[in-house]
Amino acid sequence: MKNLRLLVIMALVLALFTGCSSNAPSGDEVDETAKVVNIATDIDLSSMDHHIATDGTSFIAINSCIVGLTELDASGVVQPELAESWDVAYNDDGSTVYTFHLADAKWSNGEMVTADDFVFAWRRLADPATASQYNFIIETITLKNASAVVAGELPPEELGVRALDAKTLEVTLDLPVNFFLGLMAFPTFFPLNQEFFEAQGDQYALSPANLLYNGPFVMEEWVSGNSFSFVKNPDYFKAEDIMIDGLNFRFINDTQSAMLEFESGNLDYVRLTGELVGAYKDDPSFVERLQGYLWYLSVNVADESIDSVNLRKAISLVIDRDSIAANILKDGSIAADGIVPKQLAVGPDGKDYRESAPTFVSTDVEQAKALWEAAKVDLGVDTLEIELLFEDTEASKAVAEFIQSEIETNLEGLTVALKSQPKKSRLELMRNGDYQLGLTRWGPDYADPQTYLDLFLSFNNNAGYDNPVYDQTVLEATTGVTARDAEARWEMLKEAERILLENDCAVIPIYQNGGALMVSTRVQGIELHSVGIDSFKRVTLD
Amino acid sequence: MGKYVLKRIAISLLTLLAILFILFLMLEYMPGSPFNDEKLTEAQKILLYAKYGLDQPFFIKFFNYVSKMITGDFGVSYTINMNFAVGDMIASRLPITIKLGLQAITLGSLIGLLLGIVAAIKHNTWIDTITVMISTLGVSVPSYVFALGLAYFVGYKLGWFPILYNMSKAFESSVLPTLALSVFTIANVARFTRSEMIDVLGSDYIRLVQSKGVKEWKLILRHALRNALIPIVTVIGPLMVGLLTGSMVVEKIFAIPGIGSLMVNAIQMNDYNVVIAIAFVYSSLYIFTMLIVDILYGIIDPRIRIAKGGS
Repeated sequence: MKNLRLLVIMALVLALFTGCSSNAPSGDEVDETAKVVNIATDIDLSSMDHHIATDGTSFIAINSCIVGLTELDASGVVQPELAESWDVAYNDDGSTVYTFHLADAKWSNGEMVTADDFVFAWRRLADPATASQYNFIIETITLKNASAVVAGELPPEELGVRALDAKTLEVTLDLPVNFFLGLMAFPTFFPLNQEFFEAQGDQYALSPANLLYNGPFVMEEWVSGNSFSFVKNPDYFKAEDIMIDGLNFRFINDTQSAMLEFESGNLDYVRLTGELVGAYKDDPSFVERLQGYLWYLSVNVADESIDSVNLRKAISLVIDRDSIAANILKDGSIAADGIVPKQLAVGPDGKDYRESAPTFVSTDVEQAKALWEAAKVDLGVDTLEIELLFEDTEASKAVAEFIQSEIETNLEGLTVALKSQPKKSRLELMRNGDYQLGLTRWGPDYADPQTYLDLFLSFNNNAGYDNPVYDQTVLEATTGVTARDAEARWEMLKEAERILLENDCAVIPIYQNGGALMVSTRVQGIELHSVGIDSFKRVTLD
Repeated sequence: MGKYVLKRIAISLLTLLAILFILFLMLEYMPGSPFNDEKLTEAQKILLYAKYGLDQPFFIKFFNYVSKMITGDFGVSYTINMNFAVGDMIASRLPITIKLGLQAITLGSLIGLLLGIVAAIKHNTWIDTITVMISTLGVSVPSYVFALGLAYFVGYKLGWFPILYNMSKAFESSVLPTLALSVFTIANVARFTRSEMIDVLGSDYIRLVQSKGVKEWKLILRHALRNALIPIVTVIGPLMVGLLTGSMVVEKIFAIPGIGSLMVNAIQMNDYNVVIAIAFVYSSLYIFTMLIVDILYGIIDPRIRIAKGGS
């Protein structure tokens, strides 16, 4: 009798567990003949809604299946995409009007892609009800009335974008923004079909069936936490340019496992973490790249106990940045020359910004020691302890410890207390001004030095940096009369960087992020961009 | 028996509510928020907080959450899979983790029992020594070491089983993670079984049964093992829950879309609703398992249910 009862309970427990396990989706079948690229991603796909997405993985996925007015070619130069051509008119008041002429392209439900799709998309982006985390970008391009709409002061219909007819889109900007066309290749500016969107209700973009596509691929499957895949879109208006049948993305958090899978030939693309770089550096599949992220020490100048320009300069001068790049990170990172990274923006002279801008950062221990003596007098102390906040990743920890040892061995009496926090908490502390030194980074939103220099305007930074001359220089270059003269603007941006770094040493640039990849030798044509979205659109397979 | 079970269930439900409250309180005071990307402005933050109701006072948020949860609505994910229903995210992952856990606990208990019994019967022989060695290794070496070893040697070098979890080959690709997870169970169960069996085999009533001329296998299975089982059931319950939580690392290594890897992600990304829901699911599983263990006790050993109030 007792045994019977035991059996019944065990059976019930088993039924409970097995009852809920029969809904595993199918998929992952491998068709040996299909030309498919298998890509490992260490971050799960967060969103396919291009107004909601904020991270690189999501943007790469969106960029594979939806296209905008322009696109970037392999070398980062703007090329026409949905817009076949465009006209630009400069008005006397400084405003600029772009008129785009659209190509004959279709959505995956057969509808034409029209100018109205852009108007609707941008209105949704600016609408406060959407609460888009990327809506600042519509203000960055100085779209007419964007700030007022984002702030809820004007209705979205007042935005400076309208459809002249189904194939003609007119965009009015307050300023001649020279990175505007490049940003049109960014997913946040992609079109959206109003009718389809409204039919999906709150399910829009939550599954492949709740999305419309107009790009090289259509999404085939999306299993949260596991994988997402795309197949070639036969209705893409440039479908003949697409040489592969599909893309499979596999979410793998552990790089070692991903590399075992890569070596078994099941993956074509894996991002390497720093500790694995040494093992694969000489492999023919190893690829090094430079990324737009610039890491710097933010100094909280609002904290009077450390507010001394001599102290900041001394700290900057003792840090051997080449050593950080070559011996600590070892992933293709390079020492920073300024706050604007390399390969970010090309000037009116056709040269990379950093080629014509001076190097504002150097190492000089003797000078640093003298400045530290002066700093002691400034602050009225003999010894000083300063706190360095960083996030709890391997790379940040190693860099923070190196900076600590550089300071403590070279500047006698100056000690550094390390404070490690998860990234989200570090950001919160820095946002609240609750730190002294913070190891932080910034990734570019668009290909122009302004994306970095704007950060340190007195009303934009949380470090208490407030120099009216700096503000005036940056604002004149980006929104003043000078903004209309590309060459004068370029020189003024360099001047702003000089004030920030040479005069005030308000921030201490450290290094520019590199990245190491393993790319199967059978795959060609992956386009890596230090600004903008990496693209798998024009990949070919051997 | 019925009253005993009912009382247990009532206590379990109250405990769950208390846990939920504490979870909420802890998240309230946790530094950071789901929306504090470096790109975000203060105005956008206010918009987002208002959109998701995060700007409400603590007790209103808690009340709203619990009243929605009762209807099965666990809210939406803020960062991992933006605007996905958290309930759906867990529903697709939980079965995978539970299935692995059950496979590992079944395999681990069977092998562990077998090893333990053999070691006890062959007490103080080389077989016993080897079993003790296996147990010590299994308890002290963390499961991710076994996981990495299995992935490298069995998955990559020999190529017998897939390294990464594959939805369409769910069983084959669950073999390596199951093995990696079961090691700890094998070691624990073997250790407990061995010592319990040695105790029981040395007791007076076993000698009595022996003297009555009962066959050896019958003596071991029917008389010795049954009495040795009570303490072992006690270990298996927590081991099962331990497996679910401990599978986080193993899930990461084999890229299993289970609930453990989701939990780690959610904590790192401050995805509040996902953290609360998973912590709640874990607590429920733990309490449910303890409930089952309590009931099993009552069945195996009548003294317990009588002592704990009525039959």
